[in-house]
Amino acid sequence: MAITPPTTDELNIYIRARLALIGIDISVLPVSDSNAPADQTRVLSSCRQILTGTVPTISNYLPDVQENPPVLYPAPFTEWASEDGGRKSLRDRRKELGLG
Amino acid sequence: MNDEDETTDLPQDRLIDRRSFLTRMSALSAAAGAVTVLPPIGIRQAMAAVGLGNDAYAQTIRPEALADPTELTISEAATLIKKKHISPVELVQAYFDRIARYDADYYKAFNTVRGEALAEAAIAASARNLGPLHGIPLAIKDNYYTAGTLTTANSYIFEDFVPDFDATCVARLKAAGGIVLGKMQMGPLATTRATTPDGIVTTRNAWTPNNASTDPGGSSSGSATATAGRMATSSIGTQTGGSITAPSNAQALTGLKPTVGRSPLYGIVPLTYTRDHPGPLARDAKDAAIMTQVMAGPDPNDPRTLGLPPVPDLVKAATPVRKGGAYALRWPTTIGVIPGFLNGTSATAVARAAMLQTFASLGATIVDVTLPPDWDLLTGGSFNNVRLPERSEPFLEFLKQDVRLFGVSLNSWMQGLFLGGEDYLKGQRAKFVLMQQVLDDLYAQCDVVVQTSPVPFDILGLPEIAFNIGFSPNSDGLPVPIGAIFGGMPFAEDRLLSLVGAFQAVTDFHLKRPADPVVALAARSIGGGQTLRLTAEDVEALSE
Repeated sequence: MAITPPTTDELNIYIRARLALIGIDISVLPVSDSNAPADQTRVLSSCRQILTGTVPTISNYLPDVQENPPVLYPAPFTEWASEDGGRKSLRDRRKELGLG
Repeated sequence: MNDEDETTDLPQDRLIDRRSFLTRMSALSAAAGAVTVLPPIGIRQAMAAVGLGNDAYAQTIRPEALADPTELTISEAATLIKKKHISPVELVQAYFDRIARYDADYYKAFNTVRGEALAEAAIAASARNLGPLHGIPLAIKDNYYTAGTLTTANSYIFEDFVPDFDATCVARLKAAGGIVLGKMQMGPLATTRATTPDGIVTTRNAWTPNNASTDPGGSSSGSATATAGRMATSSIGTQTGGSITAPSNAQALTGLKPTVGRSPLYGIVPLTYTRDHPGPLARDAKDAAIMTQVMAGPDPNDPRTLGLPPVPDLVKAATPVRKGGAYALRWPTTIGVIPGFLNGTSATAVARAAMLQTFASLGATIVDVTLPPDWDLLTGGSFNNVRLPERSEPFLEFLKQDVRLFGVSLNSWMQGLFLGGEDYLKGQRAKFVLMQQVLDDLYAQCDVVVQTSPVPFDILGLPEIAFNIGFSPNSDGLPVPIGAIFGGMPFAEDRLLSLVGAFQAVTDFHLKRPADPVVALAARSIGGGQTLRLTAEDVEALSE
């Protein structure tokens, strides 16, 4: 059965709950004031964008977890793992080393 | 310049040995490794800089630079200081004069001008010459800690912050003889073009000092404007999403974003700790090489810098060579041209085509390349957003204290709180996929590749160099720079510098300087009579 997407109100409740749990108070901002540097309406909107756009896209991407370790600094890591200036893939290096 | 027999060495991207640093195999183990190798806080002395040889000094000084010391490159100024034809005091005073005349009303590049610089220059004038940076006035982005000098990152959070130590990069520049002229305007917390914390636009593009609406580039715009506007000999910035390459392109400078970890981040206000890169915004490739040579190398206070290949002789790499009597590339290089790079008939397209033709005449092979299969997805907005939790986490205490401290930049700090741990780890796996595809697919076709967006190589931590390739007139008829960016393989800084050094040996774009502000136009000098302001939406869209 298809999951019903959350409504804007439900997302706002989720966002406010998450912020309250970690102790962040956005009620100090005006509710809506386009002349203010920030307001609650815009904060909630940008957080909803992340939740409805970025999170599903990342979640739906399914890389091979064995072949693709979650490396923080891929450039230095990949360079260390190569001996030809990075032209050779880590997969090929593993094969050369008899590791798979 | 070097003789051709000195060109038989190889760039570092061809010389890396296989190494085993298995602690870096995963995000979690990398973090654990970082904890175990961190020295006690307080050990922060700079590592000895790699020696700078004679290649750093100019063999000839341009007449216009002899006539106006603010015009000198580092290389030229170093030669004159070494020969005692100019003193560091004269140099600093020349910049102070120009800052006093133009900065407050037009360029708005400085957050703090350090009056102490003059006394420091006097000390340098009577001291042993420390090398090419001896007595050279430098502009430092205001997110680098500077001992005893206000370091605000243009944020309410740091508005009263005076560090008690220098960032490693600053310490190294000072140890090499550099003089900190001042701290530069920047995007709040390094997010966008320079504005006040609540979004009022400050720094202008030095090429249009009477018009605030021309974008001066990304968050290192104060550094760029100071260097382009001849208010400092050179400068440093940081790049997380284009903030070295964009202002360098916007203001006709040579900017080098080194490979992640090549230069230490210790003592820099963080934005995105896996993507922050310190680097120079300089007047030419030689100056960028001198700055990077001093800044780069292992720092016990930054584990990201440890265990990497040694820093090669970047200054030599940037020094043009002749082969058969003509300037030529130091190393054979294939330049990859991505789809769409030459499309259209705009001034930019024409300048790009001419740039590639120049490189071909220097001996480069130019090839059209295809982008890796997952390029659009893995360099797009969603995977670029994986960086956001890295800015939220170190600032949680301030978010809890008062969200208003973040001014106009608040949104992206809030967004970072809404990616889950699994999203973040998936993002790191995606980086690895992208890196493998770049190395296996893209760099199977070429040695360096032209770039049109900073995002892909900022995600991967790969090096980039930005340089000027021409000008086009704006609506006021003023020339506005056109830039190009090359991206390289890990630790390819030497190759990138060698390419731009050769390009600049046969072109003169890097020698052109913007006209001074027109004082009679002061009335329209704040965005045509209006105060320019970025909204939260603008900042979110432009955020690094």
